This record gives sequence, structure tokens and C-alpha cells, in this order.
Amino acid sequence: MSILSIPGLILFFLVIPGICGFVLTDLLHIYEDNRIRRLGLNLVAGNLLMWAAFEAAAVPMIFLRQDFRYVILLWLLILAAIVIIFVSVRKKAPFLRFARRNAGHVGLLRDKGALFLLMLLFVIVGFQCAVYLFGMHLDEDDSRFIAHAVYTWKTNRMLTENPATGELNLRNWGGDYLKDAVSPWMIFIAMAARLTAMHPTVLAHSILPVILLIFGYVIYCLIGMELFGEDRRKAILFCLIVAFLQLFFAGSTDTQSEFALLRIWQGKAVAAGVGIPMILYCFIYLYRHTDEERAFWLLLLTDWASCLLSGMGIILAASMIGICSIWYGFAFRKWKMIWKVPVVMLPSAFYGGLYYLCKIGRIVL
Amino acid sequence: MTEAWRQVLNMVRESFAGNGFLVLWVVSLLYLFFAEKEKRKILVYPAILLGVLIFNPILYRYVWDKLFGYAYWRAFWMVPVLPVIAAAVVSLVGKMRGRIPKAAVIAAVLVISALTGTFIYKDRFVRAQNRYKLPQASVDVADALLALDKEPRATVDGSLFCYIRQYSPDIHLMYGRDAWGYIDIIGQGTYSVYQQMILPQPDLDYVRSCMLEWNYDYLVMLPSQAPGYRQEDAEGYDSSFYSAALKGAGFEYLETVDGYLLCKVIPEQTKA
Repeated sequence: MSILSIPGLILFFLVIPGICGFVLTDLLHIYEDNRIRRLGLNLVAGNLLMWAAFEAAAVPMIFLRQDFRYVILLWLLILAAIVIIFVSVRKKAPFLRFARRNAGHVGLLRDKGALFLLMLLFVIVGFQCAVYLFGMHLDEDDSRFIAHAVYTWKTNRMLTENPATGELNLRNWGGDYLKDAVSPWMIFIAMAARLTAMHPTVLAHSILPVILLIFGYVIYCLIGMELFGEDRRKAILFCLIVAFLQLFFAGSTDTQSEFALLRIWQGKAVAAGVGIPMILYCFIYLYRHTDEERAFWLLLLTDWASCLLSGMGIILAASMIGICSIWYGFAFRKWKMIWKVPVVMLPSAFYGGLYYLCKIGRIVL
Repeated sequence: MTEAWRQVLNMVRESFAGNGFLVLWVVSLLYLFFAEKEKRKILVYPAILLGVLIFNPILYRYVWDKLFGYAYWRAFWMVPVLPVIAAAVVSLVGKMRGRIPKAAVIAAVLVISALTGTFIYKDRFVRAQNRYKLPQASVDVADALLALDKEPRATVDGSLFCYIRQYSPDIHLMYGRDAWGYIDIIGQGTYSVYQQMILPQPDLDYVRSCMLEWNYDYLVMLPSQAPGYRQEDAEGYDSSFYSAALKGAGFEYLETVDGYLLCKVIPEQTKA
């Protein structure tokens, strides 16, 4: 990582998601009266839009065996098109502005109890981030994921080599290759590394975990705010307890926290640490507001973004959306929502179907 | 169905081993059910529904096993364990008066979860040895190989092959994690070399013949695998011992890097 990486990191992880998130929250008119929630949702939804756009751009390019640079170009074009259409239709710049009359009104600063809890939250989350920044956790799965990212970053080729050995593999993809072709999270890491002028391994093992971990806690904060309304102390305490419990939700190597706190740079771990909490948030938002239209778009976006993460992301997102939607339909007598579920799950159905058709040989690569 | 029950129970037991969070989750659900009418619809019932459908032997047999296979335990991630426990604690504290009782309840829950749980970083993180967060030996061996060749083709020890290509994709390995049955199907010939290289004293003639046949130039191995190595004499071994021992097996000893012997295959015509 050099000094040149800093503008790239700010651009990639703050400016682009900020703009994308603004476009989404503005179009959905979500949290227009609550700037804290809107900022949080902007950050998360902006990243989800980036991931979904990348999935849309990368999968066809991988199947057509195109150059990695075309994927970056296509991804940038998709995002630029979204922003340009937004600006031309809405006639406003995609930046979050707040009315001057609210500029000095930060209730949080006056609430000592909430500030104390927030400090404790920062200490716990800061500790978890510091472990990622200064510690080293060796995971053998990286010989597939990170090795993939490194050779794509270096050679501009996608899924043409066995990541374990570097031998060319242009024959039909089988096993893990096929999963990676449908859910190319490691190619996204390669792109992030290219755009931030960093080595993918350094990015994946140090910077990305911190950012993804914070996204996860932003989502838990949003869940806390939805569960406990305007009581900010309760919302912060909720997030604080989740952050603390994560530290002890271990023992086996299978728990959600194990994946979130030990190896969140891997796609399946992003599903555990960000994707699943986001789906939970969407449904709590839906149950709380019975606001189907907004929740529908957020769920569609989350499902699409989850498809980028891993094969597990595709299945988990579809399963959880299916189960929670059925509950919503029954409990709130909103039968129409049940009919919308297949539309929300369309990305999972498409990419899952693509994987299955390739696996049984109906689509020959 | 009994078998499905047994498998579900085993997976749940294994997944929640080392922590009492499943019990805390059930207790929290019960508390929220009785104490928080408002949260029943938005958190309690969906969590119960997710739990009932996921920890379900019938669905396991006909749905989850087919969808998740060996990784059925990942379906457990959908059950909101931590949010339910946290919501219950916040709700309980919210109903109390006075700072001290509130702080006591929070502290008690956190202590219980810490005592019944396992600290997640215990034996899982070590201090980073370099900015790549890879074992320093793998970085040093990779650098040594890249100093010898622009795109070296090597056979390396099992403790290194997962990390070398995370550092540089220019290094080509005869086998990597595929030797452990992951990523791609490994060829029988390559696998037989791997099986040799995990032996205390591999058949280096066989390894060498395969390396020559498939154009691999470098071998990275443990000193104890050198021909004639004896543990009791190990302290007296220096580069001249390794040089002579490996030359006899058809390899040129180049250097020792972080405890690994780096050697090059001697082509047939010049073998000693």
C-alpha cells in the first residue's frame, strides 16, 4: 500500500458507495427525515448496489472469457449510467445535504448516556478492527479465493487458471470453478485492488475486513434503530451487545461470528457478516413499516448483491427471503407480498439456475 | 427420519459447541414472547419460524441437505441468534429503573455469555509477520524462487503451497490445495508426487523424474527429508551435507530459506 492508494480507497469505499447509496435512498424516499439512519443506509445500500452491478457485469464477461479490464469498464459504465439517469431525471446532484437549520442539531452529543454507550461500542468494534489490521489469521480457503484475485489482478485473465497451481485450465469448469464463475467475489477484490493501487492480498487481509466489519455493525445499528424506534440509547446498546456477543460466539468453526470476525474478506463470510444481517434488517423494516415498495427494492438489491458473494450467498439469501416473506404475508395479511417474492428472488433464481444448468451440462462453457 | 433427526441434532450440537448461545437464544425468545408484545410479530415469530424450519429433520432430508450438502450448518446463520439475545437484554434493561440494576443486568448477561462462550480470537490470530498477512517463510521462499526465475515452476512443501500464490501468481506449483481434494481434481501422477513429499524420507528419484517430465525446476523441502538425514546428527549438518546429499538424488542444493531447502533439479545428462 502506498500513499497513492489513499485517494483510491476513499473513492472506492466512500465516494462511489456514497453516491450510489444516495441515488437509491433518494429514489426510494427512505429515511428522508432521519439523517443518521439515512447515512447508514446510504453506505450499506451504496455498496450493495456496487456489488449487484458488478455481478451483472462480471458473470457474462467470465462466461464469454473476456478480459478483466472490460469488466471494470462495464461496471464503471453501469454505475455512471445509473448516476447520469438519476441526475437528469431528478435534477439534483447525488450528494447528501442537510438543511442548515439542522446543522447544529446533533442530539447525540447532548445525551451523555448514549455517548458513553457509543464510546464502548467504538472500543469493542475498534478492537475487532485492530485485530484485523495488525493480526494474521491463516485460512487455507484463501489459496482459492485470494490466489484467484491475485492472478486476475496481475494477468487480466479470469478463471483461466487453477488458482492452487497456476496451470492453465481452459477445459470445462467443474466444482469450485463453476461456483466462482457465478459468484465472482474474488474478481471484485481484484478490481478493488486495481482501482486502489494495492496488492489484492494486502487489501483483502487488512483493509477490506475493517470496512466490511463496519458495514456489518452499521446494519446492526439500523436493526437496533428499527427495533427500538427513536430511543438511541437502546439502539446503541443493542449494537454494543451484538458486538460483544460476537466475541464469544465461537467454539466450533461454524458460527456466523467465526466467519464475520475471522475471515470476512471471503465471499461466504461477507454473506454471514453483511448479507444475512441486511436481509434481517430489510424484513424488520418491512414488518415495522409495512412499506412493501421500499423493502421490495432493498431486498431485490440485497439478493442480487448476495449472488456475487458465493454459492452459499445465493442459497441463503433466497431461503431467508422466502421464509420471512411467507411470514410477512401470513402475519400481516399481505398476500400480495407473497406474489412479489419470486420477483425479489429473481437474481438468486437466475444465477442459481445458471450454476445448475452448467453443472448438469445443459450449458457447455 | 430417525437418521435425519440424528444428523440435525449432531450438526446443531457441533455448531453450537463451546458456547451456550442456543440456550440463551431460547431463553431470550421466551422472555421477548411474554414481555414484548410489540416485538412478537417483528422479531420473535420470524425467529421461531426460521428456527423451526431450519432445525427441521423433514426439511433437512428433502430441502436443506440437497441445497447445502455438507455445509447444512451454514443454514443456521439465518437464525437470528445474536439479535434476539441482544433485543431481549435491551428490552429487559429498558423495563428497569436505576442505573445500577441496569448495569448489573447488562454485566451479568455479558459475563454469562463470556463464561459459556469461547473467546473467538483464542489461538486463531497471531501478530502479522508482513503486510500480506502470510507466513514469512512463504514470502521469503517465493522471493527466493522469483530471484532465480521470472516464472519459476516448483514443487513445494505442504506447509507453503496454500500461501505462495497469494503472494505471487508468477510461481507455478506442481500441486497446491488441490492435493487435499479442493478446488480442482488433481491428476493421479501429481498426487503420487504429493504423497511422496509428505513422507519423512520421500523417494526423490521418483519426484525428480516426475519434475523433469512435467518441466518443474525447483524443489522446496524440509531439511529432514534430505537423503541420509538423521535427527540425532542434525545439529552438525551444514550446506555441504545438504549439497552432497541432494546431489546424490539428482538435485542441486541452492540455499536454505527460513528452514526450507531450496534446490534445483539437475537435468539427466549431468546427474552425479
